[in-house]
Amino acid sequence: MKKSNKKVISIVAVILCAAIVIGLVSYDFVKSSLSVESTDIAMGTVISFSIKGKDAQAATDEIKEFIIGLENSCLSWRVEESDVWRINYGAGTDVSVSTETASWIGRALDISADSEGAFDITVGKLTRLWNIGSGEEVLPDKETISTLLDDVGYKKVFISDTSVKIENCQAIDLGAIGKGVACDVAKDLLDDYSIKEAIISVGGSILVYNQKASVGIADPSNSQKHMATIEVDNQCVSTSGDYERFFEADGKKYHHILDPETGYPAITDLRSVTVICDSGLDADALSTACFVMGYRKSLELLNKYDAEAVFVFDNNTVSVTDGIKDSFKLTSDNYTVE
Amino acid sequence: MKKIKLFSRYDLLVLIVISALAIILLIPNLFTSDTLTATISVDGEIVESVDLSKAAGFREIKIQSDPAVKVRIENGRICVIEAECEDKLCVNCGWLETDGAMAVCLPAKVVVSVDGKNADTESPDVITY
Repeated sequence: MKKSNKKVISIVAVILCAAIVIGLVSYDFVKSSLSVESTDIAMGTVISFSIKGKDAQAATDEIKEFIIGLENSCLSWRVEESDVWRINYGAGTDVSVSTETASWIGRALDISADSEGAFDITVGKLTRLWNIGSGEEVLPDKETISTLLDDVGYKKVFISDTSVKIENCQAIDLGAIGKGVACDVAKDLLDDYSIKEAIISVGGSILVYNQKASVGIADPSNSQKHMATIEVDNQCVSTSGDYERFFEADGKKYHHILDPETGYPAITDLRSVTVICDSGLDADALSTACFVMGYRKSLELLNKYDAEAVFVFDNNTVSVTDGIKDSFKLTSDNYTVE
Repeated sequence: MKKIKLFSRYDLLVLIVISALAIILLIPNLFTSDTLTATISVDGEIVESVDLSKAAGFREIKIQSDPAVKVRIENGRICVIEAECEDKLCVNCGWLETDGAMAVCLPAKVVVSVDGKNADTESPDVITY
C-alpha cells in the first residue's frame, strides 16, 4: 500500500471516530433539549410535566399559563369574577359563563344524575364548613350540617350553552373535577403542538398523552409509596382516597370526600378508588362518585362511562375491573387481589 | 509479505483522546438512571438538587421561601423537618426515599421531590394519588 493511501485511510478513520463521538454527544444534547421535565404549583396543587417533542417547551409554557388562567377565570370559588364565583354570588339568577364552564358543569350534572347524587357539585357550602385540609378544621355541629344539607341538590341547577343558574342559598364547588378539567385542557393544547408524547400530573390526576405509561397507585397507608401499577395507554387517571386530606377530632378521622346525602365524610369500606378513562373530568368525578357509592354500586356507573377502576379496601384487599386485570400489578406485599 | 501499518503512533493517540472524550461525556448519562435525586424548587425554580445515593452523613438546608421551610438529608433520604405554615402537611409527609415521592408546602410554593431509580424497585412513570 502506498504511503499516501495509508495516510488517507488513517485520516478518514480519525474523522469517522470524531463524527461518531460528536454525533452521540449531539444526539444526547438534542434529545434532552426536546424534552421538558418540570414541576410547578398552580390551582393550589402540584403540577408536573414530562413532555417530549419539538415543541415541548412552548407547550409546557402555554399549558402552565392556561391552567393558571383556568383557575382564575373559571373554576375557583375564591377568585372574584371567576365563573364559579359569579354563579355562587348570583345564586337565584341566570349567570352568563363561558361555553367551556357551562359544558363542564353540564357533564358534572350528568355524572351526578347517573350516580344518583353520590357526586354533587352543589356541596359548596358544606365543603367550606368542613374546610378539610386547611389546617384550621373544627368539627361542625349537626344542626349547621343539617341546615346546609337542605340546599344541596344537583337537580336545582339549570344550565344553557352559556349560562348557569343555581337556587338561592346554593353554592357550587368544582374542586372535585378541577384537576381532571385541567388534564382535558392540557390534552387539547398538546394537540396543537408537535408533541411526541407526554405525561402530565395535576395534583395526582394524570394525563397520559400519545404513549403507554406505568402509573403507580399511591399506597393509602403511606402515600409516599405506591402499592400497585397499571399500564395506561393514552388515557386519564384519577384517584380519590381518604388519606389525602383529613383531620382528627375526638379520636375519629374525618376525610375530605363528603357524602352529599349525609353532609359528613362518606362512610365506606374503601380506602381509595382509581379510575381510568378517556376524559380527565370523567375520571375525577367518577373516582369521587365511586368512593361514595362503594364497590358494588360503582360497577354499573363505570360501565356506562366506559371506565375501568382499581378499588382498595380497608382490609388491604384490592378489586380491579376486568378491562385492566392484565395490566394491573401489585407492588406491595401488604395487599392482596380479591 | 510486507506488513501494512495503517496507523502511526500519532493517529492512535488522536483516536485514544477522542475515545476518552466520548467516554467522559457519555458516562454520566449511562449512570444517571440508577441514581436517586432530590430536587427542591421554589415557585417552579429549582434551588437545590442533591444526589441522594451519594449524600453521606446528614445535611440541613434552610430554603429561602415565605413561609420558611427547612429540609434534612440523611442516609439517602430527604425530609421536610420544619415549616412555618399552618397545616404542616409537608412535614407530615415524613422521609422521602423512593422515586416519585414528594412533599409540598403550598403556602411557600416549595416542592421537594425524589426522582430516579431505586436499586431494588421497579419505578412507575408517574403516581396517581
